[in-house]
Amino acid sequence: MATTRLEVDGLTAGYHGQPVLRDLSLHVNDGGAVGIIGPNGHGKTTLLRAISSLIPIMGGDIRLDGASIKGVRADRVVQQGVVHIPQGDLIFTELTVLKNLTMGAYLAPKSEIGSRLKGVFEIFPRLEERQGQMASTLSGGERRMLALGRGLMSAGRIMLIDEPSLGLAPIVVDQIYDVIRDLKAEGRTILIVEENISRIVDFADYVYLVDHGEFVWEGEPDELMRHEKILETYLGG
Amino acid sequence: MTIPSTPAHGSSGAYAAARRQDLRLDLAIGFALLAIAVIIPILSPGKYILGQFTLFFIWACVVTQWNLVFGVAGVYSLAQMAVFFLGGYAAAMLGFYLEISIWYGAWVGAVFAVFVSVVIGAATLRLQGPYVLLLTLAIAVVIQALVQSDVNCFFYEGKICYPLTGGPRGLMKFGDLGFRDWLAYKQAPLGTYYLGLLLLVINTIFAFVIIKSPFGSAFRALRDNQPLASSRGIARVKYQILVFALSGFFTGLMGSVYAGHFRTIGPALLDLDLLLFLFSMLVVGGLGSRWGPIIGCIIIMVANELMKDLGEWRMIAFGAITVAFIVLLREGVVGVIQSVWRGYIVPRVPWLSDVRRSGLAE
Amino acid sequence: MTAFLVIFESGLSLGAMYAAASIALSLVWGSIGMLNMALGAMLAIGGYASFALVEYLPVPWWLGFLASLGVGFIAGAVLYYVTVKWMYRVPTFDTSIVIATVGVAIVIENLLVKIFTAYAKKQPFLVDDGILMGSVTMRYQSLINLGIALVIMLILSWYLNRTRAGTAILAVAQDRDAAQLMGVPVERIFLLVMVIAGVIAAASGVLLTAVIPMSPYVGHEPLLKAFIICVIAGLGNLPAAFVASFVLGWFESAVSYGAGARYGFPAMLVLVIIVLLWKPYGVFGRRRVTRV
Ligand SMILES: Nc1ncnc2c1ncn2[C@@H]1O[C@H](COP(=O)(O)OP(=O)(O)OP(=O)(O)O)[C@@H](O)[C@H]1O
Ligand SMILES: [Mg+2]
Repeated sequence: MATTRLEVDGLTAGYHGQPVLRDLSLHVNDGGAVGIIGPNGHGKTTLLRAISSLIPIMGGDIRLDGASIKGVRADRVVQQGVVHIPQGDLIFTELTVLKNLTMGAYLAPKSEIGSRLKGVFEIFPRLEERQGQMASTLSGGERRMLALGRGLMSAGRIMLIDEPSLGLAPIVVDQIYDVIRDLKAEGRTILIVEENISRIVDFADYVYLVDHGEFVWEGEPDELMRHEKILETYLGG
Repeated sequence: MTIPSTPAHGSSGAYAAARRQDLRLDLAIGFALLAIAVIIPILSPGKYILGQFTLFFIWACVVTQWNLVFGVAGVYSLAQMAVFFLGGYAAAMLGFYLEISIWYGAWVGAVFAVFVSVVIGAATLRLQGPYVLLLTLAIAVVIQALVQSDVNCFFYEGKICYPLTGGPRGLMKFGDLGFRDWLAYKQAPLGTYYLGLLLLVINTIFAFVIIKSPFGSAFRALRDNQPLASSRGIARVKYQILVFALSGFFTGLMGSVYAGHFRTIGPALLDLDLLLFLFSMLVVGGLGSRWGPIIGCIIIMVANELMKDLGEWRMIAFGAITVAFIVLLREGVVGVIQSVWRGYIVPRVPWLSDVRRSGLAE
Repeated sequence: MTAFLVIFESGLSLGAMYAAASIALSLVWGSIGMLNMALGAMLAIGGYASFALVEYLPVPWWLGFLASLGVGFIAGAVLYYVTVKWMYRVPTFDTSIVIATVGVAIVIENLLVKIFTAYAKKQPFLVDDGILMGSVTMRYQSLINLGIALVIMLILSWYLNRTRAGTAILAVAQDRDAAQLMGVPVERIFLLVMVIAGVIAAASGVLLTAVIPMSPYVGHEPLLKAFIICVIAGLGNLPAAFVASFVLGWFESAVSYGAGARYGFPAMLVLVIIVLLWKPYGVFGRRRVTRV
């Protein structure tokens, strides 16, 4: 019986007092890979933001290794080993690639930065070539690599990854998923938001479907593939 | 912020009932205050107190108009006193140089104030929050600096040199409201008292109508969510210009009343201290609320009276009060009263809570 | 030629006077999104701290100067704990904080009046001499002010570019959420920024009051001028603020020289009004970032 790393229990959260998510529950086991799917604007990103404490919890609870993170500051949650790789380009555009990466290791001891940097450069040689460049001048694919590389720098145990394949060429997506698969193989716990159904079915071992801020289906990926109605309604068949 | 603009849930009948109840409450408060204000002079409180009340009427009008721009429309303009000053100054200049009675000059001043206000409103359209504050403050400071440093002699009276604008001393001897000629000398202060009261009543009704009208909802929509409001097709340009024009008119008019009442007007009106004094009324009362300006004005003027002998401590207290309200009680006194009313009193009074529960979603 | 020298000299000393204050203003705006209206009062605190220490304690002027930096440090921290800490999450923070800091400024200035009276005082940190350049005297004080402003700018650039905490400040300025996801404690960074700004403001206050007579309200005009400089440079753009201080200093001197002293300040204000209308985020400005 695997231990539960991350547990979301009846969560209600949103913006400016208006809930976007209502009574949501999920759990991710140690070393597990859980996928979240659902249409645009239905609260997937909001869920990840609530888990990393960027927005307050309005109801319910979120627990890391059994301890509630309700009201805990975002940086403290990061300290507990949660790495959130945000959707889109939340990189520091006015800093160089190298500085973006070192910011990823903000909480790490100084002595470790060098070796982690080497590790990231091995995975993404492109970033090494461009390390002195302003992040704002990177291409879309390079930015995503930078965001992922920055996440790797912090060596957390629980990774929250938001739509890593969005708007990227299939080759780049392949490369990024190779990295994510390696992370899983290393034993990290992964909660991933993904719109690309085939990617998620290949990768995740359990899937939740969000609709209007609520889970409307959950199960194993191959179950999902057999569920024609869902595929048709949500994923365009 | 303090008034729900549209019902989120509930039947429209119940909502209308709640609105009627709001209106009844407003009318009750309004008439009670009005009755007190009408009676006060009968108690012959003396010239000083009457004068302070007249000043209160003037500031309450100015703050009410400011609230429309700053609190309701959410355009953070600090040029309110500049509009007030220019409206009054135009009337005073007409009185001084052309000997036009301030009763006529006031309208010219008000129209001039509308013009100035609309220009400022247009200028701030493209700007975001703090830049609006900066721009409007810069405008006020420029006007003050130009008048204050105006020392070139425009004409001489005897041996005394007069600059065109009067310079740092401002303008005097441009006539007054004429109550001393019409009423007995002793009764003259009553003239300005009741004039001020009348204007405050008109101002307040006007402001309430604006806040309660579809304009008010549009303004609130603009303030609370600008991208959303503009995507809903609310023309920001039109409403912003309109609110600046309307509030500019009343503000400019009050400038002339001020000039006529004190028989002097000068650049000291643009001092930062006075701006903060009036602003603390706005903040203490409750930004964007209906009764906020009047309640804030009463509180601050009474506090000012009580602290009159405290010298610097008075300004220190105003600074501290402003900070305390903006940091801790941003809804102001009206907001606090409303929360107590809705959270504590209404649930305990059955006939109130019936209407409220079914009508207004909080 | 004389006209040029006069304008050059007085513009340079004006620019040096405003540069440090502009940097303090710009830094706080860029990283916290806070228009610090209490900066003028913080300048006054710096000036009076140095004055009081040298006047009432047996302390040499340079020690007074250093100690005033400590007082500025405390002032920055106090301002943070009184206002920013409670307000930075509020949606209307950018405007509410302006009002709050105006209130704080009024409190500080009137406290200074209570303690030191409103009469002008003389700053002990003062060098009277100068060197002759052609027909114009370049005051040593102006050169000292220039030097110190330059040193402040260089140290700050080094700090922001080369240290971990400095990089965290830049990261928070660019994307607060992303910085939090790296584990950066945003409140601590805000406190750090306020403290740095407090120290710079205190230094700037001492330099300022060495040139103009010190009163509790001494910071009003420099504050407004720092605003103008920052708006033109784009709030948050530190090097541009530094350069713009001198450009504006020369502009003000030239207008004063050509049209009379009374038009210098209004001309600057008109300039900022034009700039705001033409480029809502400043000439070199974009939205809100701190750049070094
Ligand atoms: N900062 C915010 N303030 C107010 N509302 C927000 C904010 N961020 C998101 N929302 C709203 O919350 C809802 C859910 O947004 P969210 O970003 O979680 O969707 P999502 O499922 O991640 O969509 P996508 O697939 O497009 O990334 C949307 O209706 C969105 O408009
Ligand atoms: Mg999303």
